Amino acid sequence: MRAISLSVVVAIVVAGTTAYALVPWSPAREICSPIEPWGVAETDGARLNRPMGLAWAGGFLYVADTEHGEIKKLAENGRLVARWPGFERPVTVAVTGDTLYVADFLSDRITRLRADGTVITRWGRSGSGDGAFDAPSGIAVDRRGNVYVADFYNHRIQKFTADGKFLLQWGGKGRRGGRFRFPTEIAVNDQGEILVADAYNNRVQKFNRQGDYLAQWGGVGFGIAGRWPGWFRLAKSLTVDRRGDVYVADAFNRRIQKFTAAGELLGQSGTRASGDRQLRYPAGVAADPNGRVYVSDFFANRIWKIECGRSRKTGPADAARTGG
Amino acid sequence: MEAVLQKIAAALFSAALLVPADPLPAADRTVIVSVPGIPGPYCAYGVEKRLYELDGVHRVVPVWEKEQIRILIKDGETVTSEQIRAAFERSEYPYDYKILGR
Repeated sequence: MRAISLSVVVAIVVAGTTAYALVPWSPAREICSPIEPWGVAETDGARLNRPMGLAWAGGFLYVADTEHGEIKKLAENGRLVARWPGFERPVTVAVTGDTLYVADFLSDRITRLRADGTVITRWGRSGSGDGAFDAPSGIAVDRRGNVYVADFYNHRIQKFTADGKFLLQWGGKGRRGGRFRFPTEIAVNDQGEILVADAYNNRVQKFNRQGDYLAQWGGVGFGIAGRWPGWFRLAKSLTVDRRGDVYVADAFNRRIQKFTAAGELLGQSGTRASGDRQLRYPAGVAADPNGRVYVSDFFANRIWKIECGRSRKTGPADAARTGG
Repeated sequence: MEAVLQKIAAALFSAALLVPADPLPAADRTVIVSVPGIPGPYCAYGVEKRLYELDGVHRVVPVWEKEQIRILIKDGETVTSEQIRAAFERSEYPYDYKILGR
């Protein structure tokens, strides 16, 4: 007989302080800790104004601080390390090595810059032709340096070389596999597969490097939204961790859901919290190599941290280990 | 009959206070659009993007706390209510909104 406990008490160590909190029950196998506030002091210019896209690289978190019009680089303790201003509406950022790629929703441009702020190249123009954008909303870079851009109002994905040469595009508006309704973010896994947050179709879609459709998940399909585990109400953002698991910011359900690379639900976090612990609008998500996941909360102007551990048929003692 | 006409005149006067004349005089500078229950960033930023495509728009400011989008008009330029509605239409904004005036 399978025992299910609705909640367990788990000790969580965050930034040197120990807190005790209830872990929300999930029908999924994996237990995610409750969201924890993380970093970003109100001082030293690190205050955020509507954060969206996140990227983790080299021990730092990069935040698209949309209404400040800049990208911020934060240390693991949340301290501001660097900032790159001068964008109109930067909604997402990707980082490889010391190179940043920023998608600007208003100016229809992608900016590639070095960590010292030097602009390497900019590309893009307004429109719907090859290499043009109508509100670039998501960006990712694969291991070969190719850049993938979610083109929001053109309902497509475009692929470029690192310096912005157009390679190919796929998509178009629709609900069938391979089509999109306002795609908002992209991630690339270790197999080179492209994962797209097909936001208003309430699903995640997976493609190969050439843009051939491979799979999708999120409810029963047909763009139908839902609150049940594994469903989405606006699949806003996603990221892939080092194991290949996929985290999806499920914006209107105010939660993060975790899946295997094949789309099997592993866990969720954020749904049962209340008050200050409730996600208001998860807009961006990034994973670090240690299994921690960072979530930008657009309306709360802050970053949250989640830890998910492998936990199957566990009692409180096991759960405590996963939460630590 | 006179009472009815007075009511109609009063209603028209009230409406004139709420809905900006067309075109909007540049001197008025800021147009406020109420977007009750606006759910998330892409709704607002999509509208913002389409509004910036209008020649007379100087700046667009989402005011989240008040569920408003404020449109600042360039000096000497005009932006009509119809243009604003068309911008909302092009952004595919799916919810109700109301041009409140200035």
